[in-house]
Amino acid sequence: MKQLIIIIIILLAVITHAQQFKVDKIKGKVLVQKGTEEEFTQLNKGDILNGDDLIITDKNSFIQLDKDGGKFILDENSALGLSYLKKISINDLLLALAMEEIRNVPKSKNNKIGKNTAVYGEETVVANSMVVTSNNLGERKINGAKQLAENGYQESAIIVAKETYRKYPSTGKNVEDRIYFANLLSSLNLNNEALEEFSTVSKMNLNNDQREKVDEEIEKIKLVLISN
Amino acid sequence: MYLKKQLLILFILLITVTDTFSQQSLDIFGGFSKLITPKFRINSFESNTMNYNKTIDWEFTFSGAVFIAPKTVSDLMMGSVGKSIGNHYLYARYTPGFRKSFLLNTDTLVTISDTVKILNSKLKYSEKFGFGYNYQFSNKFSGGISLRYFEQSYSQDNVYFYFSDSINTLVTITDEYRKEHWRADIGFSYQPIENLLLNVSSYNLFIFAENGEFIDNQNLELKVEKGAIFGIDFEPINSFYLLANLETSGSFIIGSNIRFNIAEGKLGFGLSLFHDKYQEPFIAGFQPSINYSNRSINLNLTAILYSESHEGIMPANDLLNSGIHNITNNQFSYNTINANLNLALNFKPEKNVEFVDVEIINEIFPTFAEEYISIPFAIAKVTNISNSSVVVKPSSFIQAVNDEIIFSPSITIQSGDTTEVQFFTIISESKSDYKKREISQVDFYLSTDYEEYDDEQQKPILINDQNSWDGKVKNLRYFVKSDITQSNKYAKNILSQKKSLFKETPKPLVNFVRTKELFNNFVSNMQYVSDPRASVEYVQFPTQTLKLKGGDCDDLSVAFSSVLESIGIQTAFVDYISTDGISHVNLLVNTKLKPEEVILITKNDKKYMLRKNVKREDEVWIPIEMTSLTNFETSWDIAAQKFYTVAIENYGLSKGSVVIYDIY
Repeated sequence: MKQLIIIIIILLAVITHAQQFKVDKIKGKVLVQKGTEEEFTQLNKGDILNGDDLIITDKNSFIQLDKDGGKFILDENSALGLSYLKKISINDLLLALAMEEIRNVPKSKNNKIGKNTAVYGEETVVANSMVVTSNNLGERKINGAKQLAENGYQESAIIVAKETYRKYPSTGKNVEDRIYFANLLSSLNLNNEALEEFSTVSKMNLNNDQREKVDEEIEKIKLVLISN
Repeated sequence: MYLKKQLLILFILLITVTDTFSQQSLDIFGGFSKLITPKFRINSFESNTMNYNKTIDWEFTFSGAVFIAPKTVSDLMMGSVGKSIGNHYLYARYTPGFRKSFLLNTDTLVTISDTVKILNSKLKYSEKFGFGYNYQFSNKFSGGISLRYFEQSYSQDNVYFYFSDSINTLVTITDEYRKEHWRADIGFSYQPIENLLLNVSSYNLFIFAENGEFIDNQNLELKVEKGAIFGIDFEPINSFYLLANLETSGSFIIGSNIRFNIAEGKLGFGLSLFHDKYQEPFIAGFQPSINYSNRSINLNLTAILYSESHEGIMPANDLLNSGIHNITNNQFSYNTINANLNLALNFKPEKNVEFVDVEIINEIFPTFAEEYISIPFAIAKVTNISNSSVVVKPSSFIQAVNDEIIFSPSITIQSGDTTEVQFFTIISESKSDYKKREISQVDFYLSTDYEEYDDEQQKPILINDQNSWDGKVKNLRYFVKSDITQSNKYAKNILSQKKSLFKETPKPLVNFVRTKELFNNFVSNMQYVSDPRASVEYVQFPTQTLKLKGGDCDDLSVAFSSVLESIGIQTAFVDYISTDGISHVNLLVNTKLKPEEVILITKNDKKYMLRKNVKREDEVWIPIEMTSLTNFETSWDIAAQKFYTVAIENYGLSKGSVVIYDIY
């Protein structure tokens, strides 16, 4: 019984915290993944969505959400976790960026356990077909993040982009997207973070235009940092 | 093993040098080990040529002796003064009692003018005074020099015949010959470890400023053959000492001492025996001694007892043939009882540092043994009351958990400063099984240059039982680590039943599938029960949880973490810190999947987190709620929902309201 109470408390704590959205307009194939569910379901006009839901739009589709009279449109080929559809402070953004390091496993000095463990699995190689990109979810999330930025949620957009680069590593290879979000950091005067991002981009395989643009931005930020 | 090695070294040294070494090193102080109380010099040039000592400031010594001869006489043997100045030590002694006289009766009667006169010869040897110096090169190595001044005289009655034209007469005249000389010797001592002192010194190395001679009787002059003394002082067990001084002439002295704490000081007993090349029998004599010392005084009562009696009239040829090599110990010496008083007059502070206060900041939880190596259990405020900067060596002894005194890192404190000194400890596995909580005493010590502690304090400390937990989630990992063998048996037993399943499992999924199978088996046999204690946190060891088939949130998390860790699956605790101070704990499990492979286990990216491993590669970790004893999927969902909302979405990880503690 006590066990059940604890689970209910945990769920209640999570649910009561969530914000709600209403589907105002919808066109085409727009799916939702609720909470921690595995499956996606089609959305319809008037549906109520929670803050921990993820919506995905297919090609030639869009969705308009309403939250307390405020409207947000997610265009085609995009994905967005609704928890990010909120204005957050620069401070929270910095906290979110700091989490990157907190999540790392500390270097272990004396982990002696498990070296002699029997491995029951075969040396089976995972077929390429098994490692799918989950409906290009990563790319769609980057698209969703850009729309967040365009609608004034730059801070949230940066968090989504950073998270997506890690969870969907192929998205981090798109130079134009990386430059876009690096510029976003710069526009928020997060110069150190922007410099770090541009420096990472400068090590990627860039064309001449991209190289020129990135070098120019790096110089500009360095000047700002020196003058400060 | 360590003791055996030391005894072997001692034995080899004894064997090596026994045949190669006169009894120059017997002194009147009882043959006490130099290790006993280096603060007092309870030995002299004879056995301590290099002047090894750790006298703090001034020291004065007075020695008297009773000679048990045909006519018992007493004498003031010696008075000395020593002074320590930094690494230098200066010593001077006046030795009126260091003398030996012989009356050689020729039995020749001469009658002159009706007067009968017996012709005699007299021999006198004396050591008048000496000076010593020692320099301490380091805590382990020191060297020194001793200078001693000797006088000797030989007088002989002779009959001279005088004649003239009117008278012829016989006259007896005493002819006297004198000789003086200085003797200089050097010596070095090396203390490789605290309970072992090795030393080497010369005797009669330099004889100089010689003046005079015994014309026609040079064989009666004090023998000054050169040689060396090799010495070893050893404390194999606490307060029990062995010593040996072996001389190149073949003579040696060996002995042992034992000491007991008594009346603010120490009472010691010693017994030495010595072999002198120039004396019979082989063991020429014994030297029993008793000693008492405290901070200010040292008292010795020592006897020198010869195996053969040296009393009475002896043939002159014995002397004429061999002469003597040592004034205080030779084939004609009498049994002696020596009393010796050392006074330490210390004008420096008796201690360099002192405790202001000691605070126990952590009670002891025996299961967290590793914790106390890096986290102090007590902090003391310590003041340097000396005039210079000192290096303080803090140490402690907790009666219930320590086998020996545990030293904490040294700290330098400037003169007049008060600073915090941390005390760490090592929990002994052999000391107790820690079944009950108890109050124990901690002895805190501060030491600097001196042999004795500068200051001591005692405080009570709570020693919890082995299942006690301080409520800090990070310390749950000690319970995980403590019982890994049983957990491994459990895990292997379950997994061996699923061999066919794992055979078909792609390698990247092995950790995930094993976790899932183990969890489902684990929860199917478990019942959630509340903490059996209300006031003190109680955590079961994994073996207990598996045996009892139940436990609370902490017990289940610890047990399942232990099961996974035992087969090499990394886990971590997630601590959700609430404002009321009550934590809830989830488990994080490393699936070892790469981000590109996560689709193999979930299509929902809120259900996992990425953590970089030591190679800076991202790996997929999944949270598990251990109170949900339903199935793996449900427990993962519940934990993921909470983790995503609290730790990620609300920046709990950055704000510190959610903390991850890795087991290793």
